[in-house]
Amino acid sequence: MNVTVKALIRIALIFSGLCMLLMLSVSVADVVAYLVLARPFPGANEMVEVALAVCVAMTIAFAHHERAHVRVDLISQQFPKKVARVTEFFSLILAVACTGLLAYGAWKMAVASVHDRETAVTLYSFPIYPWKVLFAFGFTVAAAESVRQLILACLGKSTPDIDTSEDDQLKRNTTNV
Amino acid sequence: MSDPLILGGVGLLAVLLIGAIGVPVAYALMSVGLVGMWYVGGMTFLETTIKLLPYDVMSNYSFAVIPMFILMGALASTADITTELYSFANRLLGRVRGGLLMATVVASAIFAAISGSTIVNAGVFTRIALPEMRKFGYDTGVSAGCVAAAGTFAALIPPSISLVIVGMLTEASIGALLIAGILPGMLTAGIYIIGIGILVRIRPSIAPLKPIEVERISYGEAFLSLGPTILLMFIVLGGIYTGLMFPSSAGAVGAAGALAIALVRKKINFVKLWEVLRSVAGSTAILFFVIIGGLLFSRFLTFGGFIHEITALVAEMELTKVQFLIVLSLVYLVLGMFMDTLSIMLITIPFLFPIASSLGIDEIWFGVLVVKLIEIAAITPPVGLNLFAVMGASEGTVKSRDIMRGILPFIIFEIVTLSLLIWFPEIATWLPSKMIG
Repeated sequence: MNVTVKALIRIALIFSGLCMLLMLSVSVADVVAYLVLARPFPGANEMVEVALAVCVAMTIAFAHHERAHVRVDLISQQFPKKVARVTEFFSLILAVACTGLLAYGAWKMAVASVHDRETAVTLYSFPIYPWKVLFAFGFTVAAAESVRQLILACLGKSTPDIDTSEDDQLKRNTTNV
Repeated sequence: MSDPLILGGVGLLAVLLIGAIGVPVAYALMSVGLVGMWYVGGMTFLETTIKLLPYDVMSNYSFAVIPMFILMGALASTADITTELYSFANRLLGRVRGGLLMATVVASAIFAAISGSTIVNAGVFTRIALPEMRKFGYDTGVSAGCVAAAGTFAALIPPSISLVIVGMLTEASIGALLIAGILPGMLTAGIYIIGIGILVRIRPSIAPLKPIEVERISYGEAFLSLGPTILLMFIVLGGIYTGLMFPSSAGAVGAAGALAIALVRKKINFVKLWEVLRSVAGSTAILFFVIIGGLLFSRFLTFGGFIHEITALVAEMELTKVQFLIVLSLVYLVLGMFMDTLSIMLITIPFLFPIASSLGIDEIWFGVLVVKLIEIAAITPPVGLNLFAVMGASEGTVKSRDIMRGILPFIIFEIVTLSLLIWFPEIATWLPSKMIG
């Protein structure tokens, strides 16, 4: 399970990076088209919207894996080891419940979208349902990562971080906006 | 006390307790919000919400401004423009008593117009400005305090991610909020400079007047090297102000511009760009995840009737706007001592904003005040994250007792600025009222 989930996180990250590039290039193209040709890039806003949703959903598992979520640790860092283990276990159960519910909700939405063959309502119409499936996939990977961490905690193993520099970078960028 | 008030109060208490034991804030907000919604509206309400809300939030075009602003800041840092900014500010102010402190303020304020993260701002200037100030015998505590406090300008001066988050939570115009941050941000920098001038006269020992060797570059050369950065700043802010670009598009253009600067300066290659994209995606995901938690919690408070009841209760108290804002400031000052800024915003704005609205407080003014309070929270000990950022980036040269002593004058400057913002709301609301778009 360890290997599979980690591989899924890496795949999700590739999608996420590509979505970020797509958002950047489409937005710039839209501005250039509007200012130079006096007509906006068709479907730019809708493309950015779906790319943003997929980009975020695909990275949640990575953030969870890196333990980069925002915490208030003023009190918890004073806890003795045993208490800290219990609170960590509680935290992981909540993570499984929350990501699991969000994945469930995302799949319900994605299935309905596939069923309707949902497309963007714009001049340049494109299918939205594959993006919604990717969105649900992102949340599923996040839920899988939560389960993996919970299992490791049950087995008394800590969850190793793949890349701590990335973790620091994430915290630097986010904890204090 | 009616039931919705008790229910909401229990919910708030539960979030604080779960958060206090070290559970990530996103999960604390989400779990209480989800259980609360199930309790208030049943399984159907819960299912509908989890099916629609996350995608609606994550696929909102206006919110694409967050990754674009973070990307712009990250690429600007990579392009290494901060060293030039600091050299330029030194050239202007380096020979005045306390000039290096003032130069840090000016350079930080300009960098804040490119980077939206206070912690990045503080970290970067700790590496550039702090060694310089120590070299010329400046007091370590005050120097470190100055870097930490000036780092918070990024919270107010656009592209401010804090203002975008306030916009997401209050549904106020993100463009107007961003423009509203300009004057208060400049006012804060101005008050810092005046305050430093007074401080070094009262206590000359903190900034000895030694001849400072400033790099011999002409103003023309300085402007030439800073030109692309200044141009970038004007394109982004001008684009938003004139309505030619949505904030999200302006952020994307800014990010593309920062990337171009980094490429021209050979500071970035494909591998580094990919690392930056990954890091920015991660930061964005964390922010959105915690915002979704905040919105779920907010929905529980709204549908549970807490917002309605608490607004009515405050109305019965017949508080004036100023009285409410003073109470608000005190609440934030206390919370800021113990919690990080993002958590404070997500837990408090869902119920404080409706109260503020019911008292007739302008949403833009409210947003700017909240972010100003958030700035102060970032530098109030013991949990002032910018203080930690400076200590961390100083690699052990700054001790906690130094910075906690050195930050005090800057907290006073912040309170002076806050008072001005409360008494003169036009400082925040005038510029957005003149927006063209």
